[in-house]
Amino acid sequence: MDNGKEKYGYTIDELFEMAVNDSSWEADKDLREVYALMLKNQLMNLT
Amino acid sequence: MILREGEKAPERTINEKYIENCKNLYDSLNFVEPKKVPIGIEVGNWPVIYGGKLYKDVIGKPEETAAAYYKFLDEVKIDYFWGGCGVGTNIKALNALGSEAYYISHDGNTIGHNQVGSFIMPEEDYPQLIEDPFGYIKNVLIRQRVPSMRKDKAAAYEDLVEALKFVKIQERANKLISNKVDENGTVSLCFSGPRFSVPLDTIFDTVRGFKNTLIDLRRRPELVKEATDKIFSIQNAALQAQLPNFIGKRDELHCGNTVYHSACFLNDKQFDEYFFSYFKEGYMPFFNEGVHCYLKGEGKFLHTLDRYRELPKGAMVIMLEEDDPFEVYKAVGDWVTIAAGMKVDLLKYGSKQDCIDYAKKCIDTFAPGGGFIFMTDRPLLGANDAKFENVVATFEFVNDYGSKQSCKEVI
Repeated sequence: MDNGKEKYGYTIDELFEMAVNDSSWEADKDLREVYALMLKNQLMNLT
Repeated sequence: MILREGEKAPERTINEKYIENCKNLYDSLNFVEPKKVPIGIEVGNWPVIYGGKLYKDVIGKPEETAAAYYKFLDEVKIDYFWGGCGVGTNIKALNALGSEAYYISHDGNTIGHNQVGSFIMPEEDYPQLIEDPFGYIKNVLIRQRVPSMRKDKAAAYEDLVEALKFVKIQERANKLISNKVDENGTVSLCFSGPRFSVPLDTIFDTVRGFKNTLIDLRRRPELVKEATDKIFSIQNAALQAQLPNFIGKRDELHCGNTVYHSACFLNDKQFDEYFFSYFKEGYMPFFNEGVHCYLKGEGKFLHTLDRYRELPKGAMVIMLEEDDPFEVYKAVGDWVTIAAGMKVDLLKYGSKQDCIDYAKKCIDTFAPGGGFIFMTDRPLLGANDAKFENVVATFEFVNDYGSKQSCKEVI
């Protein structure tokens, strides 16, 4: 399945991974992981 | 609020009240008459209204959101929430990503849902969905539904970080609210067990929508079944991986949850094929370890409840919506725990005495011998969903009377 890497230059997983590794918006890595998971789940469950 | 895939329940601060509430829930779910009937309620943002605010005015302001919630938590005594308590859908985060899937309704408080405007999977994409259901949702549906995910990488990332900042803000509000919930000793019942995701609901809620899924069940049932089989195989592997956490813990309160979204629109054959067979296969190992499952029922579904006699007695806790709880009690009240006791319609349109009389009748009928927990039939969401004085009077009454139901002749 096309994951959009070619068309958009990134996959959605890669974008979230960047955010998890970016301390500019939240210093605590555990919290970054939790918040990223919550948002990704919200997008995965959009109806 | 519910926990979705991979999300962990927040750590709780346990006090004596919490332990007492857990004991009463444990007894009720195991058909032992508790010292007090566990008292629950389902609320969305309604407590903000009770606190004298509108959600549109406190959204994005954690301290103000929590302060508005506190008045409700201080004044209405609740032993348990079936899920969590706090603000769920993060509208601002979704807006930061260009999505308008959710919005604050005209009452300034209720979170509305815009499925009509959402991108729906075209029917010719079923083979892609069957090949990789969650890859399809991520790589096709999210790209279509979330405008920022179609921007170039730098712009998309900027929007994502902005959205995550809103997640952080909202979770600050929820943390403050859950601190108060902990202080009150209120139990988030279904954080204590695994969630069963209904495969057909993934298609119904997320992929094809309400109307198309019901059409597909008639015109292309073989594709729907292939898709639900694949979704189940993936989700069930994740579910079974949690089983070791519950082995040998029968003396603890463990209750997961599931929901009827599509179920009440299915005929008997479809219900067995698309709900019950998956549920039984997936959850039976947990039932065998003494874990319960809370079903948040939606719609009318009395005709489905006889199946639960195939599961161990006490395995299920069933929250009713449109069915008459007295009819349900006659049908399965000896086998499943009933979560009922107050109609939100009555809280809105009835008098205080109407509410008290109905609650009393429910407690008198359902509580003896356990197998009953008090719950509203719908969540309180909007500004006009209930009269404040009815809520206060009802919960004062049930907290008092539920402690004495086993010797009700003295009342």
